[in-house]
Amino acid sequence: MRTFLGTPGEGNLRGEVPFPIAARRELRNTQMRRNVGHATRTIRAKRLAAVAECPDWEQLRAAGSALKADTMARLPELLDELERNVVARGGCVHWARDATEANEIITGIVRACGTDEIVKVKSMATQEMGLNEHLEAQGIAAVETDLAELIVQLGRDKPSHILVPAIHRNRAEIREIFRQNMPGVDDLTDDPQVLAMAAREYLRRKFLSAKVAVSGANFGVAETGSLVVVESEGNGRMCLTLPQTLITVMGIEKVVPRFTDLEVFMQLLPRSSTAERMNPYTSMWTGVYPGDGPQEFHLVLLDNGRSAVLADPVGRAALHCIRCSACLNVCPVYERTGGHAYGSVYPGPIGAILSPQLTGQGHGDPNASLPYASTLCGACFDACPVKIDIPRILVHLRADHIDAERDRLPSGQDLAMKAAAWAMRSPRRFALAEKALAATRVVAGPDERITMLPWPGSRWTASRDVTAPPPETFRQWWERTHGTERL
Amino acid sequence: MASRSCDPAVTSLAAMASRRSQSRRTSPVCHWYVLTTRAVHTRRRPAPSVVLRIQHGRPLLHSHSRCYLAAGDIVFAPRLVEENPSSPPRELDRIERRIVATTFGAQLRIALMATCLADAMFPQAAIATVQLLERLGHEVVFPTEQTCCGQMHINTGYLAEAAPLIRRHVELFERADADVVVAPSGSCVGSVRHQHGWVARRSGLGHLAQRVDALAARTFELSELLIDVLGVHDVGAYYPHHVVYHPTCHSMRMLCVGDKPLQLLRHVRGLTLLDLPDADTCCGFGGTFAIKNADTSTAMLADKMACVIESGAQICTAGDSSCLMHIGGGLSRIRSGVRTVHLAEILASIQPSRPKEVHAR
Repeated sequence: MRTFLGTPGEGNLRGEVPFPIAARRELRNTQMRRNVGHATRTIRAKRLAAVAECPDWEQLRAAGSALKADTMARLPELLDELERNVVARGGCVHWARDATEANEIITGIVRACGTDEIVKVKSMATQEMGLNEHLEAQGIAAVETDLAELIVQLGRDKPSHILVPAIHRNRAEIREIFRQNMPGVDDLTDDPQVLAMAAREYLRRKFLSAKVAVSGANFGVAETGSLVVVESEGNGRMCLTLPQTLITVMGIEKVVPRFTDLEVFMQLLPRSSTAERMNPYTSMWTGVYPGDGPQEFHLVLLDNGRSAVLADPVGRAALHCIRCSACLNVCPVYERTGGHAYGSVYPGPIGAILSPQLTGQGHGDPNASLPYASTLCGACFDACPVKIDIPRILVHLRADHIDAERDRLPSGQDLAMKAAAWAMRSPRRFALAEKALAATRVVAGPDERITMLPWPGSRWTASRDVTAPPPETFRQWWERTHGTERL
Repeated sequence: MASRSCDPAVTSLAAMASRRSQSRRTSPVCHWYVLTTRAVHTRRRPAPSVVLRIQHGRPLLHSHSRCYLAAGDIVFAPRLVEENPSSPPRELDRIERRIVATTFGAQLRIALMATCLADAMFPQAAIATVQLLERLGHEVVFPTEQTCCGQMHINTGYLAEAAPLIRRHVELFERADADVVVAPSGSCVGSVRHQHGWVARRSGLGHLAQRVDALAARTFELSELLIDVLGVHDVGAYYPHHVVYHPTCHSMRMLCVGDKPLQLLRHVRGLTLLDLPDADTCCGFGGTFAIKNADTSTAMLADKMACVIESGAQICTAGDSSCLMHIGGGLSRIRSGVRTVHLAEILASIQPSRPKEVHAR
């Protein structure tokens, strides 16, 4: 039984059902399969090309990894330094233990501004918190300005990818969503240019009239109190400069020690996420500047389970994530199941290690199935720009889960694993088990194939044959050909 | 992974030592030469010396007891000292055999880790490994009390159950007193080299950690053993079939075998090696994943099978029986006409296939 540090993460961090069940449903969505398969395949190839251009890529990765490890080792003092510097430049810092607190803080600020509509820059943290839903319940409309997030919002849908949240949609679906839900839109074709122009019109009106913007932050520089937002469309720049009041929500792990540290991440992030050599719109701001830009700046620091992740010496590497989504794009599991199967706003390999750590892996928690949603192929580790050893952490979380369940009645899997370990601890029992296995030769046909097995073997034989056990095991052959001399 | 080349100075010294001993062929005693060395691999302490023993005209490498040389370590030899031929040099108190990327043609004592899966279900992979290494002139030993490396338990989260298996593994293979350990499985070797250490430390076997690491340092997957340790690319195999090679994830990403299996396959006479599209993509086995997440596993298998069939091969090979069981099981179910054969079986094959071998086993 482990003590949970801080309060467990809340919000949109878990699904209703465990991964295998959700995956089974999602695998049948042919539109999603086509879209996600095609998109991840394309961006995978582009990322490799972008990375190959850097002769010092591996050094950059090592530097990024070391910087993040250093940050995590001194997180409290860095957050204090960040707060001091933000406040010194006229900003206001709020500390939110969990999603509920953060939502309340933001609602309070928005109410104090006297507005009932805000614009939003894409922010994973606010998705995690469920900010939009909370604001809506309070009568405040939160308009997403990132095109993909806008599509998801207008379609009353859930995001399926951390970078390209509407990847599961095709242009015909987007056209329908715009036609039905975007005010001021009459006739639309499904030509991407036309759709983008329609969104642009709609969003322009919103940018020019908004009084409050809510953003996330890719990085928060402790040394200077600066925040950084990295984006491809320009909506971030609009939201960060036009409104009177700016609220930035930042997960506490996003702090970096010094301004020069950004040199490493600004090279790693664009090439890993969108396979671009340089990020198109990079915005950095510090506090407020009289007469220019927002006159009120609020930084909300979000914990929501991150302290618990930090407490785990192995698992804390999950906090190194810079949200580039390279791991999602190379993951063969994610490519086929899509993001919705994971249930959390953080899907894919990083989601499989982050989501269960943020929420905890209690008994019956669907998030306990996420660390098992992987073949441990290691493609994610190869792709990660900050070298998070995702396969190692997955096995570590699996071990945590099994250890936490040990004081309960053993499951079928527990019994099978213990029986196997018992047989494997003794060569005599192992040989006996092999003899028992050989007895199953009778159920094989003349082609030496077994096509049906009882549960749980039925899960195998549902789609695969299995060869019949051989008439002679290896050790029997060895004894016959090389003698029984013991070593 | 340490450099693969051996210092030319050593090669020529070994040749000289060999020639010297040739001239004393009638003498029954062995001759000892002390070479100073420096192990390049950063994880090892610098080795003070290597003792080269020439016996019956064949050089055998012995090393100082504190020298953990591994295949590919660069050995410098600024001085060659001929010691008393009848006894080992005095300053060495304990000599253990170690391995070096061989240009010496040394015969090695190789312990086989058959793997639980091959032992029980796919013995031909382990049998072929034995036959191949014996054909290359090495001594193969099989510690009969071995069972499993514990990978399945580790990867499913049952570390406490895996710990005794790790302890057994280390004790058994130390007793075998072999130069190297080989397994016809990238995933099992990956587990031994990359998981046994931290699982041992995490599960109360910290006192074994150093022995675990030492054994892991001389455990190799078959293609690594052949190319890095034995220095052999052409094993003299004959296999006249159309073959496609699937790089298993652990061998590719954990062990970084690179294109070693392909190099070996290219030297097999009669074999037509075809390209596998999307070779780097996981086949979907993943151990218990194949059962717990059977639907996703099947979806990944479907794509892998499509690529295998698209390649036009009649045989799909790999260095892991587990992945082959999964891919082969699928290919069999859809009656694709393609079968799976372990890499070891191909490399051990020296005769034209007899008719009965055409059917998949």
